[in-house]
Amino acid sequence: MSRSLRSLNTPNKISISFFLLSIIIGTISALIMLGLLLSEADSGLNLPSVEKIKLKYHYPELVAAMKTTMYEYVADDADIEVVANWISNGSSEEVFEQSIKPIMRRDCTSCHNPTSTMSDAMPGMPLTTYAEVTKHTKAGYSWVKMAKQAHVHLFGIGTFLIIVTTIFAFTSFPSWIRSTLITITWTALLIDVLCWWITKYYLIFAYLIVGAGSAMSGGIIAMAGLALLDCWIVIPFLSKKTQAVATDSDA
Amino acid sequence: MKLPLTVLAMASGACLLGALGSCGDAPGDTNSTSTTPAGAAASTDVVSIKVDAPIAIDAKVEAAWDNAPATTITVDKTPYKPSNGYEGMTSTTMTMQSLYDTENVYFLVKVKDPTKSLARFPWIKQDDGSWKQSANKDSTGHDNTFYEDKFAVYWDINTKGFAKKGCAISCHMNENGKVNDIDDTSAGRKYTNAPGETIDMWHWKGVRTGSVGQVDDQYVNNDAPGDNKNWGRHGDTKTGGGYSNNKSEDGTLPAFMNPPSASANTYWIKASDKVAFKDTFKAGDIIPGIIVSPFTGHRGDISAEAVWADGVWTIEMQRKLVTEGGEQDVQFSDLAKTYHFGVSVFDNSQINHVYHEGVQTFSFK
Repeated sequence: MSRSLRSLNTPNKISISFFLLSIIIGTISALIMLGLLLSEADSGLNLPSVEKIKLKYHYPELVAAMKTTMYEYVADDADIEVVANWISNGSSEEVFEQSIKPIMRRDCTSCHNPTSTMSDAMPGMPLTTYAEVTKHTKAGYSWVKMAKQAHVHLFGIGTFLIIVTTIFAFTSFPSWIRSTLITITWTALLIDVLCWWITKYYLIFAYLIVGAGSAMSGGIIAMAGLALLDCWIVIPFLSKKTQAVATDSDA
Repeated sequence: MKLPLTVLAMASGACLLGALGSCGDAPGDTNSTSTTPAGAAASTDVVSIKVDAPIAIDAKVEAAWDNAPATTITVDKTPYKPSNGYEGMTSTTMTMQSLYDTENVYFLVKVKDPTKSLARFPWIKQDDGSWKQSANKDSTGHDNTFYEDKFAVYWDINTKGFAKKGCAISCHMNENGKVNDIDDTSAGRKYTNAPGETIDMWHWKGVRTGSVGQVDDQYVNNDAPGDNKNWGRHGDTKTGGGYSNNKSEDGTLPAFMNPPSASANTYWIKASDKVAFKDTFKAGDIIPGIIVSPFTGHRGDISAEAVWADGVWTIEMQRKLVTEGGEQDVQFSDLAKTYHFGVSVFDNSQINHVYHEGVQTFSFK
């Protein structure tokens, strides 16, 4: 027989409360990190920039890196456009030797070469030859990288989301609230990951990544927060005042 | 009582979480070093303060320096890993202050370095009576064992990209045994990317120029190896002075030594003091590997005195705001302008150095 969270014994409620608190703090931390990685800010909680998301999922990896994580190493902003144009015009080897190689040499290959031992050396990602550079000129994430990110993301978030949603399912809130939040959060997770793929081809879906990501994290925080409160207090107009069984008939 | 006890338990847990969350370094903790004067700001801006009277260059921190804000700079990158090992610093902090008067600009630099290194290629008499010049060169032909401590400031003159990337704009590392498609055994080369681009390099060398109260005034341009064996690196024009190896013609013995009457220094011989080498020494005795004299001409434009104490090099430097060194020197002729520079520290190392990414700025107040 299922029971509401308030009817659990105190050690159980303490355990669940700390778990939910960890989930809330962890989710906020993840939002802070994403906001910083995908915006111009260097502190605080920020909304991700759609432009940065477009760069990450739609633009060629090389151009995206030159505009974001590697920007500080690019001596001249005009060089980013030179590289972008070279890629959009078919990445010819002739143009690479004439125009792209000197840019790579000036800004990239000190670290990105197989024999580099600089502090930030990236010998495993060389950019010294045409073949090496064109590995990073395809639009958005590669299929391999996308598949890797997607399965790690889905398995990881899915694992703790099933716990959070199950706990939330046992709260004393009306069934429609529980069902709606659980459905929105799971759906948002799937849409978020699906849009990574679609944005690779259709730029407009970058906005859906922001929306779905926000809905997912908002849903997680809302469910964890409400469940945490439901462990200890009666929320006016929402919580059932009795320790009745939480079933669909509660609605 | 059940609920209050539970709340107490949760509050305790929350406090524990809070405490764990605050275990990281508090801002400023890492700056509490002996090189950081009180009130030092972690900033990339060095601001020079005007003084009425000239500053004595003696490595003593007189009261006038109290008015100059100290900028803390962390250097924590190295360009290569020597093949025979490297025992020098891979990270350190330094502070930089500046003053100026109507004619000169002054800098006070304090670099944390736990070891004072001056034993640059010394000769040591062996048990069998022969002499051996100490050296331990790596695969690039450079030494990190028997060398000297150094400090360098790189000033942008007119190099595109320096204002964003700093020193890195002229740093060209070896790629698969080549630099710019030319076979080369060095770890990397310094040169600017276009003809006409120049960088001023102030290179304080603890033994070779520090011993004679100078910084080696150098510059970097776009020269290729066919123009200059050191590629873009040059010394400013000189009319005399400088340093040379203390080696006999056949390379097996020191050529000179300090006179017995001189306050003998183990690691250098002043050219004005040198006497012909005469072997009256016993095994283990040391003869300096270098003969030094002050540069005359523009290579000697920068005066400096330095002292090492308690793990910190204190280097005081002076140069004219405007020199007659022309295009080889950064000219501080516009006191309203922001100048861009970078710094690096060499810990007993010939070319391996700890540097920072990006650029520092310098202005006059």
